[in-house]
Amino acid sequence: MTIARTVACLPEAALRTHDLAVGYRTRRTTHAVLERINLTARAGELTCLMGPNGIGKSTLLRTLAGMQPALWGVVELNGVNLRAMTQAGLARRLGVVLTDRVVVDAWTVRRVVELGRYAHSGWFGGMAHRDREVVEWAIDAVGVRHLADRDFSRLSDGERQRVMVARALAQEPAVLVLDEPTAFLDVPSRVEMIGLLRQLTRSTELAVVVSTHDLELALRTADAVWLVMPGGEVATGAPEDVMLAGGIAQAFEGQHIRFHAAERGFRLLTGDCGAARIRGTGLRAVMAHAVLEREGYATPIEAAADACDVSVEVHDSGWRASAHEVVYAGSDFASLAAFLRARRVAA
Amino acid sequence: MRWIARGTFGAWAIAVVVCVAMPQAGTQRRAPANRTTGCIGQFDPATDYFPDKAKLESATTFSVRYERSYKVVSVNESYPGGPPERYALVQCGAPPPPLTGDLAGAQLVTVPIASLFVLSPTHLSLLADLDRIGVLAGVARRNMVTDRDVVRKIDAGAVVEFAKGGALLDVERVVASKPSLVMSGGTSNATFAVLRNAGIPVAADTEWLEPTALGRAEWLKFMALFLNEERKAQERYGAMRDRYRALSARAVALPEAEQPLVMTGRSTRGLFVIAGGRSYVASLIRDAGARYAWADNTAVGTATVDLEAQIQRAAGADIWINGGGWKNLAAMLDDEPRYRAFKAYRTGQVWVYERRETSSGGNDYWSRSAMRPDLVLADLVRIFHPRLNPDHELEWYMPVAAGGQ
Amino acid sequence: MTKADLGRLTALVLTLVAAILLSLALGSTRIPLRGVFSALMGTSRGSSGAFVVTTIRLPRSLTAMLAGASLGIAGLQMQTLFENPLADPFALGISSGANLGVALVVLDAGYGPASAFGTAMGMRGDALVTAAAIVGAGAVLTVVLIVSNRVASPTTVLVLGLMFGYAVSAVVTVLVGASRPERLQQWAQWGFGSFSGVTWQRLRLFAPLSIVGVLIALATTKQLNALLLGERYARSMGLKVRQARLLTMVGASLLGAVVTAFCGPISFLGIAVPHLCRGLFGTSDHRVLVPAVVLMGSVLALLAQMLSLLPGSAGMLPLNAVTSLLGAPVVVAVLLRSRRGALA
Repeated sequence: MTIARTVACLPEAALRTHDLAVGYRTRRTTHAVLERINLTARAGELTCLMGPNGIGKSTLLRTLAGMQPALWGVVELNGVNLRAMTQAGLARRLGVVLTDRVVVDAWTVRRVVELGRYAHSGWFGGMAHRDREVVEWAIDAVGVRHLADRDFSRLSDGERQRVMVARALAQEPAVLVLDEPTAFLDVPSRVEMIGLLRQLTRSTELAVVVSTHDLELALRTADAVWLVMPGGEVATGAPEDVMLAGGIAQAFEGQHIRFHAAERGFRLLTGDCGAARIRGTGLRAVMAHAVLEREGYATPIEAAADACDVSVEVHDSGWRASAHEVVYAGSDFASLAAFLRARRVAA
Repeated sequence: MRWIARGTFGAWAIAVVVCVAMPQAGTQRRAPANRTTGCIGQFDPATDYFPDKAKLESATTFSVRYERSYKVVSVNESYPGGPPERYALVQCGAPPPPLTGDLAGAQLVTVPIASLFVLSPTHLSLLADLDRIGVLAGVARRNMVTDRDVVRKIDAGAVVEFAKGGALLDVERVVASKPSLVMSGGTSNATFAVLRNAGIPVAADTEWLEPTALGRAEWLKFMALFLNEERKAQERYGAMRDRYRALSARAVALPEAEQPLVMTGRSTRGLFVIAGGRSYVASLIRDAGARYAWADNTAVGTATVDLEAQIQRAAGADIWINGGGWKNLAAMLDDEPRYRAFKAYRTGQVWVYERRETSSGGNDYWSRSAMRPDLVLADLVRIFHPRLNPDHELEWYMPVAAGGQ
Repeated sequence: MTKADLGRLTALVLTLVAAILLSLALGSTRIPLRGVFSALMGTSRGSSGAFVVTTIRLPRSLTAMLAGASLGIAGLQMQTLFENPLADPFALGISSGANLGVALVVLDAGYGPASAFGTAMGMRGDALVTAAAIVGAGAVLTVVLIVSNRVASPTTVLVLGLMFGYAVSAVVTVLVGASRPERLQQWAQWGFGSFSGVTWQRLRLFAPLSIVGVLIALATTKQLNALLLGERYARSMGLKVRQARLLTMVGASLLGAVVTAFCGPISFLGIAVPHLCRGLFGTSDHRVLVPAVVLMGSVLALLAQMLSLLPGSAGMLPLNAVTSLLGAPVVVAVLLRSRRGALA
């Protein structure tokens, strides 16, 4: 009973594929990059497309956006086959933000956003009252009101990317597809961009599909994840479902890297120097934990003091470490790390 | 033949002996004409080897100065705007003069030349006029040759074709043939320097830069200087000049009211290319008893004027000469409808020199008219003042046909 | 279109009117402005002044305007289409094609068939040259369009056009090298460019063709604007890119080919006018730029035409030299100024 109700609450599918195959077709050969893909992106949800480099994410995204024909199978937008749509019809249902660097001189931000009305406006691209309203709404939606009359070519990369999103919003699409929108941005802009996209899904009924390399950021923010596995199959679901099923680990783990679902992040494997115990609480303990991990110590949660190679105690003015009856102390984490490294070399 | 040769040699041997014995008498005993072939045997610094001298009357763009065993020929411009050039023409067998002083930088040519490479059809008619076509050893392209004998020689390989590619000379071919002289058409060409470095002199024939028709024709003497044919050139030019002057005197004597106004040229994309006011064409018009619409123009060759300027000057011209390429009067309007602004067009007085045009586009006018201004003048007088020479048969000129399409 | 844009356009219109009047009043013949007006009104029919104004100056001015507008528009289209500020109407090898056609009939160095065919069709002189240029440009355009239809990237198309141009120019050079010297004068004359050869009769063909080309540009301002963001974005916003590209290439090439055929190869205007207008109007919006380029192109062409007929000298300056000498410093100044602005 309860379960049935939950399923009924799942939002409507805005974008759906049936046995889709994407790839390239030349005169002689057909090369499928990904096959038998069945995906759903729902209205009001942020969906992140992830996977190792070169696996075919961009090809898949371009095919979903109708910029490249599917080899086989179907892409549906709100239940309508993509192939049955005109170019303009598609543009009214789906907006795209690409990695292409746009070079356009002497063109204001508002003008760039107005271009998004291409599929709605008349023969000469004149703006009707409603067109203007949508443009102003889009400008507000991405928070670039203060830039509206500035020259587009003089914006920062992050600002430009926002404007390009506003332009896509001006198309009034049901689905927004973004190809690595954070690729060229600095860290705060990345977080802001993903935050903006999430906020857009909440304030509108928009389905947003983003491909990104910011795995940890995506896992924290996305409503759904499409994870392209090395074998070509795609794992889907809420980030937590995918993590739990071990998909992330399978897709990204390598010789020196481990995914820790509990931390929703990766760890670098730096060797095995033994076990360590940490005494203390608060942020300082967490930091000491990080230093020990980086220097190759396992930190089992329940470990007997005598079973450990090193025992570290943190307090307000620094740290004390005891190993084999010898006690060392220092005031910052740099000295702790130096101590641990020196110990390894000695051993 | 053989006997004659031996006889000549005998007489010569005696002459040398006499020379040595009594130098004073030597000049008197020598043949009183220039040597048109071969070399002198023994050089005598006191002998004038060029008893026949060219005397220039109308030509202004080249000059000659005689020494006893060489002559110094100067050309004002080797091509339009080009530097002057000087040639030291040394009698074959005589020692070359030192190339210092005013001879510094001069090209040394041994005369009479034994073989000649020519670049312009005009050169062929110069050789023909001097009865010396035999000296021809190379032509730029075979299609500039009309003489059957020359064509046969080209086929036989006796005359070399050395500029099949238009302005580009086949330098290697020229150098391999070692001609005594290459005569240029008075244009700039970088390969001439290469030839000179290879020891082959290049003389500039800039006859077309002469401002008068007679001056232009006098370049016959320029060619003659290299062949030692001054006597023939003086005679032939003189006769031609006399005919020219006689006819011109009658035409010029006509009262001004009877002198028609004449225009020249044709329009290309609204721009008229006309004969310059100081060109030989303008001098011919003047000498044929007519007024030239652009008499005050200062161009020596052709000039380009705006169609509007031409209408302003020549709308009332009586006669239009030296256009060309038109099928008939009606077709002229297809080419340029504004031709009807000209009275000469409306009255059908449009004359072109295409009477002797071959189907392949060759035109006898281009090869022969330069050296026969008397004939050009006669044609023009026949057109301007028919009653002065009613019996003259037009040599090159013809009216553009009236016919429809 | 802002009020400032409208103001600038109005100023351009006024400048154009002044330039037209000046071009009708200036010439070898001294005709007072009143005479020009009465000639235009047809009240002085039959006078020689009226003849000059109505059959020489008026068609020449109209030709200059059409040519200037056409080249400017074609340059604008090509620059936007190829996202390249150096593109001009002849980027696809159009003028090389026209050159080849003309070379075949003018130089005629043993390649008689072309001119023989023309003569057989009853064409000689300018009409033959124009026809040859149209055929040559059309042939090159057709080949480039067929090839470019198989190529996705605009840059590749641009390089193809360039290579094609080089190949065709090489053939022309061979023809020039093998030509008789007396033919070269006519060839050089063609290269000078001239607005004076287009008579009323030829305007009947020239004007509609170039107006059609300009109308295509006007009708596609929205597409051109979308293309400013690049082909992929344009497609994602609903533009049928292939169709727009074909239409623009055909339109621009038609303009370039028609002007070249009737006026000879006129360099510079095509590349300069769009830059001048972008600098002057401070926008890349084609809804403003298209009318601005039409006006600016007309004005510049008229100015160049007047300068090439410098009063007092019957001898002419080649039009082609004037357009470049006049325009190059202006464009450099505009670009430097706007660049400095961008850095500030």
